[in-house]
Amino acid sequence: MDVAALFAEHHTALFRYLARWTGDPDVAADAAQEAFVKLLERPPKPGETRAWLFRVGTNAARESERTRSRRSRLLEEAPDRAPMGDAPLAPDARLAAGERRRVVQQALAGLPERDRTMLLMREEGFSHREIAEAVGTTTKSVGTMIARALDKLAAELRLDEEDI
Amino acid sequence: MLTLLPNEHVSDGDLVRFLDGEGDPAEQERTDAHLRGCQPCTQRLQSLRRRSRGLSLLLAQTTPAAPEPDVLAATRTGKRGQASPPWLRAAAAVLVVLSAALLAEPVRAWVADLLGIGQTELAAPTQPELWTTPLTPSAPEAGTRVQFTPTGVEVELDIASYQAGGAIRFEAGEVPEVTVQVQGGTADLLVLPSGIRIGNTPESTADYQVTLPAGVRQVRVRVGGGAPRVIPAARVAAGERLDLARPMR
Repeated sequence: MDVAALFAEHHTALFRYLARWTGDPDVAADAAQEAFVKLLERPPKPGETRAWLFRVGTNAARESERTRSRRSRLLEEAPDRAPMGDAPLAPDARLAAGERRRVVQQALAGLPERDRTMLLMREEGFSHREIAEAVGTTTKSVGTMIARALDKLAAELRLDEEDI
Repeated sequence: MLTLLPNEHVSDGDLVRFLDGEGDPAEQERTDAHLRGCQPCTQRLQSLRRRSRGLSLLLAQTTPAAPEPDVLAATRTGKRGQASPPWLRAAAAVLVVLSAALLAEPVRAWVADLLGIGQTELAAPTQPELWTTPLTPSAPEAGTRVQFTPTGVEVELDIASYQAGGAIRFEAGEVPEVTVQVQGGTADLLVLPSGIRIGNTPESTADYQVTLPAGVRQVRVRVGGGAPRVIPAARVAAGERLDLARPMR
């Protein structure tokens, strides 16, 4: 097993998913790291690596006490990192970006864990079958649950506006 | 399969399946044909699409950058930018090897002794990788295989009835999910918060291969609403087999 190659292939997406899932880049980085270390310990079957990493990473993130404390701090904390691929922002723009990030994180944190997991796994391109296996439901239930979760977020994040 | 009566609409679930390209070509075509003549469904599809895109955009704008470099990232052979300096690559390799070595009992004992700490502080996590999402019952799905993650250390297997033949075979697995594989037939497989219900028929002769993760300590098997039989993990690991052709004693 070429762990370095698997790391190069999956780490960015895993971190991105975990950062959204936890709302805390530090917890996400630790959880992603732990998932890869466990890959050495207990490698999954070939072809299941990606879903396995996301599952183990999610479990690691959940176990982190820092996740819980982070959620309680969401309202108070200012952003300290720029979004992926963006140039450094001017102070005003940074404040607006920070506020937007806080609103998104808060909306995601307000979803039931299963809904959040489903939406974020879908965002990473997992199939409905993979999502169903991860959250313990049937494949044909996934679409309904995703639609419901999108409805929940729509008002809070103004998803129906053309220019978000 | 999507079959609609006149004046019926496509469900939200099927619209999301359509949006995500999940259905087979025939299902996609049927949905597409319905959408061409149904304004409410078309509007709902547009709404779901707009919301999906809006969420994607917001997530892309607000997700922090991944940290770099990383111990494991440092083991890469320079796919992006300059390769790490040799000392960093060497240190990373040592850390990765040490991480793996710490999983071995003799190495843990040696390191614990060296550092003067208890072995348990160095041991790999012994808790199972369990998703703790409280599951709500899902709709039964006829099929031959279902996989789910247990929410505790006990899994319940509720089997609708005894059969004309067949058996349940248990085995220990290496992944964190429970897998139920139906062999020689099909059954309605319904994932429950506590485990799974197998909707079989008395005429069936199917076998059921049940694979359990290491974290599950016991399985509670109930057939036909009778008294449960508890199968401990040790017997699961030993390949326990329960005959479904007669009442279990």
